[in-house]
Amino acid sequence: MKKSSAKTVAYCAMLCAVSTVLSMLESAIPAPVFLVPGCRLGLSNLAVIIAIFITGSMGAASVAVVKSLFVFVTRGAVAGVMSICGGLFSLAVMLLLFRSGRFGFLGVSVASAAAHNAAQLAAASLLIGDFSVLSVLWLYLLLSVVTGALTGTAAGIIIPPLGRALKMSIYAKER
Amino acid sequence: MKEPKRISVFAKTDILIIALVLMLAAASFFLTFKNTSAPAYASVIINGEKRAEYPLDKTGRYKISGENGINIVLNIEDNGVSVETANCPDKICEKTGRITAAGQSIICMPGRISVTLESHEKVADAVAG
Repeated sequence: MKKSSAKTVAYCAMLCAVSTVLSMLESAIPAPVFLVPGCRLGLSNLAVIIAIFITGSMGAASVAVVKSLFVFVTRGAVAGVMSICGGLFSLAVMLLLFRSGRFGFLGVSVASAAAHNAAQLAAASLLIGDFSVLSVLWLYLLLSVVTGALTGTAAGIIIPPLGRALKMSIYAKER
Repeated sequence: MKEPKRISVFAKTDILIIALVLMLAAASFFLTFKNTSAPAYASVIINGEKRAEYPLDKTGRYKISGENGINIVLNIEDNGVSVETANCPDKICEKTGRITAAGQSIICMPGRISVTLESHEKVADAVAG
C-alpha cells in the first residue's frame, strides 16, 4: 500500500463490517459442533486475509483491531484483550509467510490459526496469572490444523476472483 | 525482471507448516500429560493467587467466588472435578466437563479462575520454586 487513498479506506471499512458479521454468524454455530469449549472456526479471519491483499498490511491490521474492538464491546474486556493478542500475532505470521511467497493459502491459514490460538492462550495465562491454561494448548493446536485448512481453502477460493473483479493482481511480493 | 509468484490455494510447502503445527501439538500434549501419577487435589487459583486446595478423595461441592462477580460451583467426586454451575456468560468452564488427570485444568476467563489437578509431587515443586 503506497498511500491511503479513499478507495483503500472504503475497502477497509467494508472488510471491518464483513469481519464483524462473520464473527456474529460464527457465534451462532453451537459450540458442541467443535467438541471443544471456546473453539471457533475463525471465519472472521477471512476478512483479514482478504484485507491483506486488497488494502495492504496496515489495512489488514485495522480490520484486526476493529474485529477485536467488537469483541471487547460485546463479550467484555477479557475476551477483547485475548482477541487483539491473537489477531495481531496471527496477522504478523500471515504477512511473513505470504511475503515469502513459498506457501499456499491453506498453509498460511493453518499457521495463522495456530499462532492465534497460542497467542490467545498466552494472553489468557497472563491474565489469570497461572500457566495451567496452557494445558489445553495441544488440543487448540490440533484443531487449528482443521479450522485453518477450512478457512484457508475458503480464502483461496474467494480471493483470486475477487482480485480479478477489483482489477488487482494477487501476487506474493507485490505489497 | 522476475515475474512475482502467484499464491496457490495449496502449495507443497504447506505440508511443512501442517507438520510443524502437529509436532508442536504433540510436544505440548506430552508436556501436559508427562505427569502420570494420579492427581491428589484440585488447586484453585484466582487472578494469580492460590486460594484453595481441595482433596480429590473427598466428595463435595464448593462455591468459588472469582473476579467480576463470577461464581462457580465445583463438584468433586470419584477423583475428578467438574464445574456444576457458573454465572458467567459463555459457560466455557461448564462445557469443559469433568477432568481427571494431573495437569488438566478448567478455566473461567471472566472470573479469572483456574482449577488445576495436581499430584503430591507437584507440592514439592511449588515449595522449592
